[in-house]
Amino acid sequence: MEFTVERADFLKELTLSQGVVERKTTIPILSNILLEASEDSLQMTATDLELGIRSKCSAKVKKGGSTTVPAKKLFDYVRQLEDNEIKCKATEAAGSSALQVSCGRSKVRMPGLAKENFPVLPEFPGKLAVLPPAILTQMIKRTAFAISSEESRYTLNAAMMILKPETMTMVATDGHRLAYVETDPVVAKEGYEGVGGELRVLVPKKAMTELQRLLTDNPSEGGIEFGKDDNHLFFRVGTRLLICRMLSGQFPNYEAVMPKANDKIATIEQTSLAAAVRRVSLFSDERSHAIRLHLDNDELKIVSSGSESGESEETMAISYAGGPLQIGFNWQYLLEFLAAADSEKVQMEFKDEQSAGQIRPASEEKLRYRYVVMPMRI
Amino acid sequence: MWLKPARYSHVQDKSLYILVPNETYRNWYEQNFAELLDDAMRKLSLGVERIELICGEQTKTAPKQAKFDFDAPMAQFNPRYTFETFVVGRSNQFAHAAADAVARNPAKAYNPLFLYGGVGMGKTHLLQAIGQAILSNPEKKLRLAYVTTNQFLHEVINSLRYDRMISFHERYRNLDVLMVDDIQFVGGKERTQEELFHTFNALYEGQKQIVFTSDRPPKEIPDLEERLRSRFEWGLMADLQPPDLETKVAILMRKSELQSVRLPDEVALFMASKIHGNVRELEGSLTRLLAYCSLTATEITVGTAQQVLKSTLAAQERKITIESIQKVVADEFRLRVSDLMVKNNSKKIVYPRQIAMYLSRELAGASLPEIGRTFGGKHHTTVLHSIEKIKEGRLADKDLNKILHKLSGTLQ
Repeated sequence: MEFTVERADFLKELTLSQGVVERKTTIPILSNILLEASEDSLQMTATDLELGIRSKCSAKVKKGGSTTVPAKKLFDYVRQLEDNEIKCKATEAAGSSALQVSCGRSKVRMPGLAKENFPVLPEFPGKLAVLPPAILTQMIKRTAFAISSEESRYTLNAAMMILKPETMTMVATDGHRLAYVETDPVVAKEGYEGVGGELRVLVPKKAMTELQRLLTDNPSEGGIEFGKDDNHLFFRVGTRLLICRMLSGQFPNYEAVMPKANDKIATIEQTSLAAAVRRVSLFSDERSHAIRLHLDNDELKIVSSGSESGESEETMAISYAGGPLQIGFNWQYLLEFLAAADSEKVQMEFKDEQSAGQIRPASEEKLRYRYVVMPMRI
Repeated sequence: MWLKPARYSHVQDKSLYILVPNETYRNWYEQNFAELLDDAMRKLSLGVERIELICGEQTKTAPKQAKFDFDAPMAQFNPRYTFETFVVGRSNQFAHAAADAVARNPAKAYNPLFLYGGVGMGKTHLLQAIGQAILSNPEKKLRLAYVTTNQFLHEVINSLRYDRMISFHERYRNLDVLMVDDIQFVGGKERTQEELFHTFNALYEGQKQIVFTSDRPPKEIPDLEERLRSRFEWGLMADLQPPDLETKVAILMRKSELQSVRLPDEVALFMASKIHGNVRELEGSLTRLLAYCSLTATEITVGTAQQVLKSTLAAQERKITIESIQKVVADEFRLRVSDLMVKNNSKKIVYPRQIAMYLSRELAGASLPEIGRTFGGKHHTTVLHSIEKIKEGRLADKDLNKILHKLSGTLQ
């Protein structure tokens, strides 16, 4: 294998592989990236067996072929190279393969592992749906933070994506709070090609993060092609393909926990609420992160009392007529929502101090966003 | 001034806990009153050995994050299987009473409860009735799992395969009530037994209710680890016997009532006396009779019953005799029937003979002298010895157990 590639192009694709490759893995070849050169392009593949990414960049290929080299090392090296043109050549000697990389006056020889041991990733099986990138980005932003990182209940380590003919929905929860976002069938339809019927899939947290990364650095104009085979989900973004092993299992019945009769409604300005919560949080109990909201007569009082650090209190004018209510929350859960909400005003809907509260943007256009959070007993 | 705020808190492990407002008070008490208090306590001889002071602030509970109630019960119940639809007779009243007690006071009445009885005696019915009764109490909101041993086994396998043991443990060890149906199938499945053992311990220590059903007592479950067996026998074992005639009549009446059909007394009596064996068969026969009568618009009489249930009754009539047992056993071991009766103590003969004797006792219900006579004039103690030997052997010897099952299958 021998090829020449533009440094900027090469680096961009290598960057994308970094999130997928595991730093510490028991299978050495998984820390490698697979390079395959043919015709006029270079294809790169990285995987941790759960998630894989395959991308392409144009290259002048002198001789086709393939090899695998440590992904992190190659990335770190290419990042620090100065010249624009990088020459790569794979050498095979006495059963051990190596990659020679040269660029201007720099030169390196990296030992590689034979391609045969690299896991084979499935091919894109054809698109089932087309998802608009801008909307998808927003949806991931609004839900990904609520995915659980505890391993005890594995279906919560993923967000559920529901594709319907007209709409797309994403739900994530960790058992304490739940983020739900659905596209408006009219306004957000542009660029969306749904499936016939209904398709529910679990997208693992890592896949959500990587997908978000692919979307932020997305040179192509078109939509994201979504595909699925028996065991994998596929997201094709331009020349890049994200492949993720499907999680099977029962996502909890989230509809049952979404409040239906919360009639104590407060409307609050988002930025000032976030600022107040952030200030009060400094003096909350460090282990529980508990703060208390007191609502009464167009006024919101936010109170915290950590046993050592002191007591803090904020009051703000809101619009509220639901009668006096005291309710405790984990401030992190509130702030994470406020950071994702993107709305001038938010609406908080409560029933009583023991039932889940629902928070949502006060006005919405393309997305119907609901955030349900369980209170804290204080 | 110093003593006034002190309050009695509680007594635990021979220590008396006294609640004081804060750290300062505690230090002051310890420096000034400790000996005085200890002395006083000893004189009063209340069975208290130590005095501990706790600060009031410590007892304030930490804020607790509430969780979504996703954990809908892992239980699929048949709504027909409730206590109301269970017909109680002499044969099952003990098991019914035990189940009822458990349903009323989970983990307080009998723990674990082990229900056993033959096929179609109502084990699953009782088990599901317990489950539904517990779940129908909305105040308690107990977390309950009802699984068959097979489901449990598959969950163990899948958790191992996909490396999800942690989630498995979390699921089963945070329950308030665990109900496992047909536990006899756990025999020989080592890893499942191990998981069951640990789950059992975790739940039992946490004072959670556990209920098992099995088609035989723990002692007779083959390849069951001793530590599990002893745990099964730990609580209450209740058996369900085949129903007596009156109970069978009552069952028939109740079932036909549920279908809004009046079953004449003499038909019920006829069916109850003719159909031996289990309740399921009884219900099946009833369903057939009712279906026939409603489809052909005939009246339900003893005559129609006789006609409709001819084949069932014929099979029932075929009674297991010692002769038939001898024949089947001889066939199985490639012997002649007469071989079983001669005076020959070679292992080739003795072993099948013991098996045949055992089966004669178990299946034909013959008396010991009767068995002795038909097997070539053996003394009844010889017969008893043979039967005991097979009974014990069946627990340890898998192959023997298999042969016995096969033989009794052929016979019935």
